[in-house]
Amino acid sequence: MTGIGFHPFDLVSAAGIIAAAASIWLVWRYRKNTALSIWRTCTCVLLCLVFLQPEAVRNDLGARPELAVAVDVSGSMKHTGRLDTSLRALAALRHELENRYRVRYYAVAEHAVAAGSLDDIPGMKSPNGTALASSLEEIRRDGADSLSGILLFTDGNEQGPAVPARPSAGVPVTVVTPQARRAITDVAVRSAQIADFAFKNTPVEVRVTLDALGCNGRSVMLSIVREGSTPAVEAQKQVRFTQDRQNIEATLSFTPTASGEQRFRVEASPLEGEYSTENNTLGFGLDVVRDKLRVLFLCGQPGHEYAFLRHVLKTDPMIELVSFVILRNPENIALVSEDDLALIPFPVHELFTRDLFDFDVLILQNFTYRKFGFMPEYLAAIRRWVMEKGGGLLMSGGANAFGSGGWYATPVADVLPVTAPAQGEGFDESLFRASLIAPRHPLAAVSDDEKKCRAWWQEAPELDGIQLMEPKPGAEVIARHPFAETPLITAWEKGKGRAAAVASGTTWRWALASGTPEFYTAFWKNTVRWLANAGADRQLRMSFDRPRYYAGQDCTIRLRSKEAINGQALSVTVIAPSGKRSVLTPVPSGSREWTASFNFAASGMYRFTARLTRGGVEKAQAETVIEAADLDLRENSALDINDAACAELAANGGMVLDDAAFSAGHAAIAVKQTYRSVQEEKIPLWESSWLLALACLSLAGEWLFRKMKGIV
Amino acid sequence: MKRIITVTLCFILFCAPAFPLQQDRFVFGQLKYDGMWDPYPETWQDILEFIVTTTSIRCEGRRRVVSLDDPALFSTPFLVILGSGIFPALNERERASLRRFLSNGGTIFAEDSTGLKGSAFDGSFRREIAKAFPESRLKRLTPEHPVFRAYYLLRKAGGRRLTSPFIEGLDVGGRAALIYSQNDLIGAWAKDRLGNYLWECVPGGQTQRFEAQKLTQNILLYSVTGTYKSDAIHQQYLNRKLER
Repeated sequence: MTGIGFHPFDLVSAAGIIAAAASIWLVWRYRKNTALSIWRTCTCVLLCLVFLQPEAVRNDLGARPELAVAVDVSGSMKHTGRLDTSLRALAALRHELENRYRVRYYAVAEHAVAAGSLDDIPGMKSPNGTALASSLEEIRRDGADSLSGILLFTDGNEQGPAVPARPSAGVPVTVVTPQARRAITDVAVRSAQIADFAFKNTPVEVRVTLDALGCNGRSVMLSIVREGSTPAVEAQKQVRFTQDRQNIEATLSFTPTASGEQRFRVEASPLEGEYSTENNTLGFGLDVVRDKLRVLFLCGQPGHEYAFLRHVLKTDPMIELVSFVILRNPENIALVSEDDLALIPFPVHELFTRDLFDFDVLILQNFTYRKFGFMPEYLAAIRRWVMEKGGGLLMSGGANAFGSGGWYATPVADVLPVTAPAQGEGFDESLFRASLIAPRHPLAAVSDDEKKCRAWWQEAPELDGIQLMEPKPGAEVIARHPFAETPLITAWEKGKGRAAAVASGTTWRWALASGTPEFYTAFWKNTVRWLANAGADRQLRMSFDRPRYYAGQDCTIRLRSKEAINGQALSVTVIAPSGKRSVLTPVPSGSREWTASFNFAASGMYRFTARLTRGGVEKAQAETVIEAADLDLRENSALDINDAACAELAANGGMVLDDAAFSAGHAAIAVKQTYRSVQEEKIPLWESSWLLALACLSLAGEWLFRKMKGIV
Repeated sequence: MKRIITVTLCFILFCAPAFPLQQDRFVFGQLKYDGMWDPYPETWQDILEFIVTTTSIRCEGRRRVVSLDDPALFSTPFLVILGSGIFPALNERERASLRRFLSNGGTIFAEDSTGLKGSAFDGSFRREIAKAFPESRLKRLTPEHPVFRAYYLLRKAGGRRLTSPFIEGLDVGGRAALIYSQNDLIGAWAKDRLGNYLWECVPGGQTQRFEAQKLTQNILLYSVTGTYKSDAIHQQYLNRKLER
């Protein structure tokens, strides 16, 4: 009973009360018999009670608080025995809970599913995903305002989408973290942090985070493996665990030796008896760019053209030069033993089967393939390197270049911007001054000052001899012989690459005979850079927001262009594992940046191809492959109790307990204190017939007493 | 008939270039100056023959003699300066020309043909080089320098005389643009009309002569290959050979 209330007054009640009050006053005023006075007073009080209709009000708290008991039935709970532990702890305190609360049971994993009773939960389906926060929101919505608290048994292995910062607002959540029934040994690579891109031949660091469970005193070998047809271990490090539950960070360093978009994976060597080895690896992508342009310079014979050009390239800090010059032909006589010669074999096979694709530019200066055991496939490789890989090819003149070197009969001729005239390639033996045809071409821009640039070309020292050729349709002649209708410098874009031809091997004269060699240097640097920029994929970079994706997850793709967005259109094509193709339309998010979203509907490999176009012409392309892992891996990727996630779930006035503390505390959990009007109970005291009978008897008794005593 | 021959000769003399077109061929240039500039007028032929026989270099079959104020200097990327007497003081124009030649990519091999320490040529030549390149100076080239590996794998400097156990280089624009020897390398090639060597090589005899000839060839190769042999790709091979 928490209070007494009265009915509102009415006329009858008022008259009765006044009459009673008057009677009491008269008794006291004329009291001659004390016993009678007391009797009459009691009778009046009884009558007041009848007239005032008092009633008792009881606020009943039990209507017991409503409690949602949720048990995480996901794979990580089931496989580790934590589900059994949870159910046992619950069963032990079941009656205590049900006496104290009105209990509703739920099984939670990807969603909250209501269970008829605790006994139903073990038989419920155990899905692989876990979305705790959103499941709690479902329980809260299901319980509406009557819910006083949530008791959640979970390991906190949250895999679901982000949920508002305070889940289950207003309803405190008590999180009970069950201990695993059996000892679990597991190492999981949780994350691998690395820069978006790295420079080739420059060490790069990877910060790896490992979750270890039951590994105290044991070690794993952590490796960075470059994926590909022949995976290669790039770095290794031994990691020793010193605690049973440990989150440990290790930094590995390696030096990428090949450029381009590459896939790596972090691997932790499996331990004996490990619960899951699927979570021992984590893949990541790395865009390896060159801090330098790589130039392969092959020269058929030593000469001043080689020496001068080599010096330009070698002293350019932005160029990494690998050069070979043929110092001796088979017909030359060796006067000393091979050991006394500073000659090395020309690694033609390695160059054209393996190394070529690692270069940006290939210069063939006065070089013929015929003397060095060139296989036909090497020539095809050069063509493919230009057409498909964006390589930049330059052929420069001399007695062994172009037709004289036999190049027109090879696949390389396809990518050259010049060809032999119908009457065959000839040679003009005369001094001539180059005539500039395309002053705005990047190769010709030897100075930022256009006047200086034109002046230099007009006064450039004469060259000595030129090979007579014809430009191919589509090729641009940048400079030519002033009289003979033959191009000196010709360039074009071919496939994904670029190619240029310089029909004279005496451009060293531009350096030696000029007032300064700077224009000569600028010309060759322009040429190499123009050739190297053919790799359009470098204009566009694509990155993803997570190192690992699972089936069903969303991803955010970030695309960055070297050039401002204005006038450019970008599209991303995704090919799903099923072969289904979808096109994303990225949204600009900066002056040179776009973002796009994508959902990995199923597990498997997804190929993303981004294309940047301007005026309908493709300017750049970026491509990468991302794997969406299976849900099993997602669920098993972290088997340890996720304390942080548990604390977050209990943040709104709840608490986190382990199962032992829960049992010891006799299910002392956090609930909301609720007093609700609907639970108010009114007990009408005046309605008691005994009270009325007592009042009537008292009146009758008092009347008889007065009659007998003769009191008026 | 005489008139036709005269006109033809005039045409050849006035219209033909001062030197035959060299294209991409190596030209043996030699500096002419007031003084004893040509102590070995015939040796260039033997040197070029040696080069052509043993290497893939295409050579112009004649020596080109130029002076510092000759425009042809700038068509002659490799220049030899020999002397057995005082090297004359250069005027401003000649000094600028020398400076421009080396700065623009030309290479000079200079040698004191006396093979004597403290000779007149050595002092005067060093003085003129110091005036032309006050910011740089001649330095010893170590055995690792590409000039010792340009073709033959050499471990030390040779010459007709071993006046200095080294050769020197003047760094211009990041390369040894001028190489200077006091050991009379070219003298080791000199022959008389009967084909016999003019000078004994002391103290090493014929072995020392061959070393001098190999170093001469290396210097010429260096002028057309630059620092090629210092590239990383060569190092493992060359070091392995040197260890044998």
